Amino acid sequence: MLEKIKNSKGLMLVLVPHLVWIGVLFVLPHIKLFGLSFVDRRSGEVTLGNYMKFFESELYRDVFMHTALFAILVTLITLAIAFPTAFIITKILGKKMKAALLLGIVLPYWISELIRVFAWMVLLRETGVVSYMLQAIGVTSQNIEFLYQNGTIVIGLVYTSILFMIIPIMNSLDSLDNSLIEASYDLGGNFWSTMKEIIIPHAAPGIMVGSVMVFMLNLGNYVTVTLLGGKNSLWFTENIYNQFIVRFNHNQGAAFGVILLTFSVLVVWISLKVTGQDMAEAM
Amino acid sequence: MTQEIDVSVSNLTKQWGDVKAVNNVSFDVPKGSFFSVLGPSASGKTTVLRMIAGFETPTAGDMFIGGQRINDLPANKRPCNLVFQRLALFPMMNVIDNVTFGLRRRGGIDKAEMERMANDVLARVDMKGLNERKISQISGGQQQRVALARSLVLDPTVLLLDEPLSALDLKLRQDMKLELKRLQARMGTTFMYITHDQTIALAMSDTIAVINFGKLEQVASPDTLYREPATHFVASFVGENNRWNNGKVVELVDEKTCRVDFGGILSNARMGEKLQPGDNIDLFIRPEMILLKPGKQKPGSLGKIKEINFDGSHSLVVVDLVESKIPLSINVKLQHTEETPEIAIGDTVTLSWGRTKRPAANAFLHIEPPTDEEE
Amino acid sequence: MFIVKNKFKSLSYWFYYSYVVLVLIFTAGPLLVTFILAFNNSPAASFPWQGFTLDWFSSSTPEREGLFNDPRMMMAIGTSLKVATAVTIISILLGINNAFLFVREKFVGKEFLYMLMLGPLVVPGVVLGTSILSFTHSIANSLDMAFGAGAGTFLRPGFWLVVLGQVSFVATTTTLVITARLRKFDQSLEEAAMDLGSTRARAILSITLRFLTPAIVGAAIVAFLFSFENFNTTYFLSGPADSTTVPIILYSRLRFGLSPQINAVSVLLMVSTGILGLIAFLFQKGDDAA
Repeated sequence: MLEKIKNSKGLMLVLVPHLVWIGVLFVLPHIKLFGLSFVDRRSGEVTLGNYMKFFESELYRDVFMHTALFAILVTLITLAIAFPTAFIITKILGKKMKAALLLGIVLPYWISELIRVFAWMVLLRETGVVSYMLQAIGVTSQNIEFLYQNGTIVIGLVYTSILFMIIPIMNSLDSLDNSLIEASYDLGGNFWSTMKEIIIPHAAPGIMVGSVMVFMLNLGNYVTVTLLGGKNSLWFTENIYNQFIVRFNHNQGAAFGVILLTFSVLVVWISLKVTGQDMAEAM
Repeated sequence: MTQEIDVSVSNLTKQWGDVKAVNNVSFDVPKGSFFSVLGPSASGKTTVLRMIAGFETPTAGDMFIGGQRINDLPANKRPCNLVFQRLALFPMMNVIDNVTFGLRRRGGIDKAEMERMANDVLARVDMKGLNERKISQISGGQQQRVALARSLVLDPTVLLLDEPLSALDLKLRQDMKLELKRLQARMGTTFMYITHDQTIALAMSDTIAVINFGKLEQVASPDTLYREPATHFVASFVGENNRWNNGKVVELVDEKTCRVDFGGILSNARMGEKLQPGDNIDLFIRPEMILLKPGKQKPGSLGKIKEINFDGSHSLVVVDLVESKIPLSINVKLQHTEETPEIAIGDTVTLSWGRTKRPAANAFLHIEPPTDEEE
Repeated sequence: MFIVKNKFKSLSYWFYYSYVVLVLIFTAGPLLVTFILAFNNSPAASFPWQGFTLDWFSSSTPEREGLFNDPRMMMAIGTSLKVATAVTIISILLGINNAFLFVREKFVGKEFLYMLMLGPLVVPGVVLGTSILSFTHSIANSLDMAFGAGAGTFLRPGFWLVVLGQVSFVATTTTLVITARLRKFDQSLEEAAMDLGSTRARAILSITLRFLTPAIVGAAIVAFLFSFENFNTTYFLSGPADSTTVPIILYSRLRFGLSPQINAVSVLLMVSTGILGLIAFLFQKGDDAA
């Protein structure tokens, strides 16, 4: 009995700080956000008006669809680039090379997203480095503006999130015993059948985690899309910022936030169901 | 009688930088035989196997399977299959899909036929009724069977096995050892088995190739290997042995036998290599070949019992040889029978060996024993 | 391994090799160009190269305001350092606490709490920032009402709110890193120390925390960098000048044109984060070896 009390004291000692943190800084704020989204800004009454505004406005809906489709598109492009990269680094190039390469890919991601976006602005703006290069080799004779286009946003988002795809896939490939690959060849398999039957099924949890992370990062991105896309970026997060920062309409902003959160949870849930993965297992 | 040869390697060499992992190795594996490659860890035996399987490229030498040169064939085209050390069963597939994997790669076989072939070979390895199980849901012994079935279903000219039993616990390993040998005899497939475990090699093989530091030491039947080791290494590596260092060859008895002297103790010994009177030699004596009688008797050497280690069916008795001018002791394996004499520590006994046709002692030119630091 | 040695050496090996090199150029190239242009003697932050200069760091003329002579930028750097230090300390303490909670304690709902703990890392930064802003906004209003105007000021956008907001997700990261290390700890070491006469607290301090040190250092560096570079959450929670961090000031400037001074800021950040990142990487390596 005494032992039990002593134990529960120890539990309380570490449980309380944890609950304060997760409660005050995560759970309660989200409950508050959720509540706010159902309240009318002027009258203070409970209403669905903030959501109606979203569903009734063609502009908001279009921006949302645009954001969702681009987030998915960018996730797929990132996967297409990252999977071969992760595969080559873990399974083809040697161990020493791996550390050096990883450093070259990871270190840029320790630097602020602002700096990384700035770097692309330096390259792509009208008087930027790429424009200068093209003129220097005679492809064109005048400045070309690469910023403020959808293609630029895609490049920027792939750049911002590719590491978060490479790392989980590398981790899952690392745990693939090379003798499984050898066994596949030994039994008559070739590159593609080994890829399809052994490597990709084994890497599936990593691919899933990477895709979920990249999708969420894209969906919630603000800096890259607004700086590289300018006024044409049409990203849904801009609406949330505008409601909170420009219009001080917390209720409308909260509704937008809940919509964004619900959608992202939904997409993650559906893709987990479709691919038969367990997120908890995958993480 | 000419035997058909299934696997033949000649002058096979693999060099990593300055190190020759495999050094000019040649041997033939007769069709339908159980052939083992035995060696300590890092002796190059696995490299030999991986070269044959197609996962390493030889620096020099040729490899043939069924008369066909396979050096330039990729791994997935070679008429051999490998059972991996850690089995390498595909965890993302169930049992039956593992077994049909190779058949599916071959193509041209319809699904029902594949299943029939797979079930047939699974039955042969005693694995019925678990087709839908995942690999993680079957036991270690069952995994061994699935790994065997997965390779055997492809009817390879030779089945390569990379110590697949080493992952099992002792009891299961003993059972699987016998079963593997029976399976090989039943199917008639040539088995090439890589191992560092001499008890497995001695028990299962028709022929054993002993390899050390990348060099082939001896290729022989288990019996020959045990009784007539060709090299100093084989004598010290295969089976238990007493080792006496720094003796002298006194005279040659016949072309196979010599007489050697250790501090006054004289013994007949088989010459493992060419020896001359006066050569500095090491002597290897099998503990179970020594005859121990209580009291002083003739002929033989007198000894005093120092330790008795009881081990069920036998005892290992350590005896100091009292007539020797140098400190000399010997381990005697004493089989427990109705006639085994009663002995106790301190008793005087008489030891004798080498009086039958079977060689009990083998003599080789002296080699410094490895010190502990080198181990 | 075998793939390198047999099938893909020669031509295809070089194909794979150049693929990775292209990816490396993609990830590191733009930053390299930015780095070089910080030293270009041109007001345009672009090529052509017009000679080496340190003006963008140290000049004090109005048309070439060097980074070190720009009081607002220097102040933002100072603010970022202060915020990151506070966030790191709080997040490390929480991380250690949470690691002990999830590794050592048994209680109903532990798995649920663990999944919940991952939440701040998964929820978009925008949503996290707005929800914390809404919540603290209403609390601050209540405080003002109850205790008079100004009572809730510490919960208004500003230094401490930025710190709190960043702690919400940085603590998740530190928890993950430290938990992973604590799981590897053999608890019998602690028991051995107690068996040899040490108190439980002493045993934890001298044995367990020392074992955790590499993870704590690694987590601290990651926490510091996460805090220093955060924009999405911070943007809502920063108020007047005392909470304008580097990313915030960079964002406002980048919307109105590019100056080579920002290249200079980039160089400063690249060098310092590079050093910190390298230390973290080396600590991680030492961690694996231990």
